[in-house]
Amino acid sequence: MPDTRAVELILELPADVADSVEEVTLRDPDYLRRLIKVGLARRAVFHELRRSLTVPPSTDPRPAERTA
Amino acid sequence: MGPRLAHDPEDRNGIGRPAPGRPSEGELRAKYLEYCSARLSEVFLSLSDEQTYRILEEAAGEAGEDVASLGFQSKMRLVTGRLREIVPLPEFESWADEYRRHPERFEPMLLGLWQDAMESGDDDPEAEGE
Repeated sequence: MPDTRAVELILELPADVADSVEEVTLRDPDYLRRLIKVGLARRAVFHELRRSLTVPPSTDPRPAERTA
Repeated sequence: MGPRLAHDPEDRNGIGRPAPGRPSEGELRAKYLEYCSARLSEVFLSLSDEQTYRILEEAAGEAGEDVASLGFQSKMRLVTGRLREIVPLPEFESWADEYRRHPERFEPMLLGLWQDAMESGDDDPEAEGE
């Protein structure tokens, strides 16, 4: 089990979303922990892929449409 | 070195001015990376803490690093590298063709990380993370 510690977040959210967050925090506090873990994992993997994954140039034969 | 996302010389449409109904090359590349990261993250999050730690220990051992001294970004770098070896990802070209035909199948999977990548250009401020 990794070390854990508490972290306090203060977020500015639309009022109805904030109400919902407070409700979920009371009813299913572990859900927000999982949600944050999912988001951070996605973000970290994205940045790692961006650093390490070489995407070859497109070979789409169709000419790109031009704007003006 | 990572792929060129925002200032691709082939991206004739330019950032922020994609042709109507057709994503620019830069946008496609950024969305492809986010799609791949979603695929890898899905597998990562399905692992138990024990499985994650085992993968991490193996990858760190091969890289000559000590897990105990690594921060979150470094751990994710090692785990992502290992997952790329075992999780099949589509080739960019075939993915891009599929996206051009059915963008609605992919858009719900994207959280918008691709937009940040395009706005910050080639220089990923988090590339070295720690």
